[in-house]
This record gives sequence, structure tokens and C-alpha cells, in this order.
Amino acid sequence: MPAPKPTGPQFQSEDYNATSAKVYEQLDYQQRVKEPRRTEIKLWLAFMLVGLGVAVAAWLMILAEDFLITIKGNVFQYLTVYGTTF
Amino acid sequence: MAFYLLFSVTMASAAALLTVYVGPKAAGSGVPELIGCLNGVRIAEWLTPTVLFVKVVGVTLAVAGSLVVGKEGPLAHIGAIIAIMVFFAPIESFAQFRTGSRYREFVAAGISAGVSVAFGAPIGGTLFAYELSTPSTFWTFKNIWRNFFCASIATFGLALLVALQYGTPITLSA
Repeated sequence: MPAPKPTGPQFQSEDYNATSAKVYEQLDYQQRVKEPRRTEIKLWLAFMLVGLGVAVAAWLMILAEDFLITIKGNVFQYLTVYGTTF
Repeated sequence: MAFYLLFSVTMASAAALLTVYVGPKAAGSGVPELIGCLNGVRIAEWLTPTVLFVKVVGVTLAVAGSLVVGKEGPLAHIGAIIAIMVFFAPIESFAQFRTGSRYREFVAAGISAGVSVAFGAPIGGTLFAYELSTPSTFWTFKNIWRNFFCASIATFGLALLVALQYGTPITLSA
């Protein structure tokens, strides 16, 4: 004998994996997709620019640190020569 | 002794005032925020040129002031900001890259470049960016080679600039 049809509002459990499943679907596509050659070249060029930018920023930081540390050393030497350490 | 103390206090105070009044988002190393950024958290006005300026000047003053602070975390943040500046650069060819997943790929590239110039280790920088991205659903393994290329360019570029400046042979030491 079939179960009687439920009366009143019907509920079903939420699909809590819906979002992650969608994201992983996109990830799977990204892993498999092959970019056009021009796009790949542009990407590698952009990443090269990032590398060059970081190298220049790091070099400027090294320059500034060397400058400040040299000033500190020179002033300390001057004070030592003239018989005072401030 | 007093001069050293005065110099360190002046440098540290200048860095602190700059951070508090000009770029408060530059406070801290930036690594926890980078993990959040790579996993989809958008922090407002955190990857901007102002924060880059404050981070560069602040870290330089702190290191020159003999404070016990490292440059690795800040350089990762600096790299991420430079990567986002390239990402949003007014170059027509790069406009097609402006998607959420590519945004994170660029941030990861900046992190790997920053860490690799701090340690002189491109492979280490790439693996560090991968480590920060581990819970990310946007990481693709094709990205590892591009990150490694970016980190290598940064490391060799810095080594070349330092060698040209001091007239010494190129070395990859940190």
C-alpha cells in the first residue's frame, strides 16, 4: 500500500555543497582549458613586469638602507674622533 | 651609545608615524591578509600605491633603525601591491585578465617575487606562494611555472642591479 501523500508545506534539505561544487567545476575547467598562444604570451609578459617591478623596489630599499646606515656610521665616527659620543 | 639610541628612536618613530597617519593598512607583516586575499577575502584599500609607499619607506626606516624586524613578510606584501598595479595598469592587452581568479594569480606571483628577492631563492618564493594558496580553490598548477618565472626575473634582476651598483660579480645571496 503506497504511503499517503504528505499534506501541508513540503521541505527538502539544503544542498550545502552547491557553492563549492560550482567553484570546483570552474577550477576543473581552468585546469583543463588551454589558453590561446597570444594570451599566454601576454600573461608571461605581465608576470615578467611584476618580477622587474619587485626587483627595482627591493633595490631601492637596499639603496636607502645603505645610505641611512652610512650616515649613521659617519656621524658616529665624527663624534668618536672629536672625543664625545653625544 | 646615546647617538645610536637617538638614531634608532628617530627612525622607528618616523616609521610608526608614517604608518599611523598615512597608511594604516601597511601595519603588520601582511602575510595573514595575503592568505585571506588569496582565498577570496577582499580587503578595502589594502593593495594601493599609498600602502606601497608607506610599506617601502617604513620597512627601510625600521631596518636602518636597527629594529629586529624582517623584510620577508613586507616584501611579500610589496610584491603583491606591485602585481596588482601591473594587473590594473592602463595597458589594453592586460584588460582581458581582469577576473577574480587572475587577480589571485597576480597576487600569488607578487608574493613569490617578493619572498624570492628577500631570500635570493626563486623556488622557495614559488613554494611559499603555493603554501599561502593551499586552501585556495583558484590555484591552478599551470600557475606554478609563471610564478617561478616571475620569481626568477625578480631575483636575477635584483642581483644584476646590485652587481652593477657595486661593480661586483652577480651573486644570488640574500
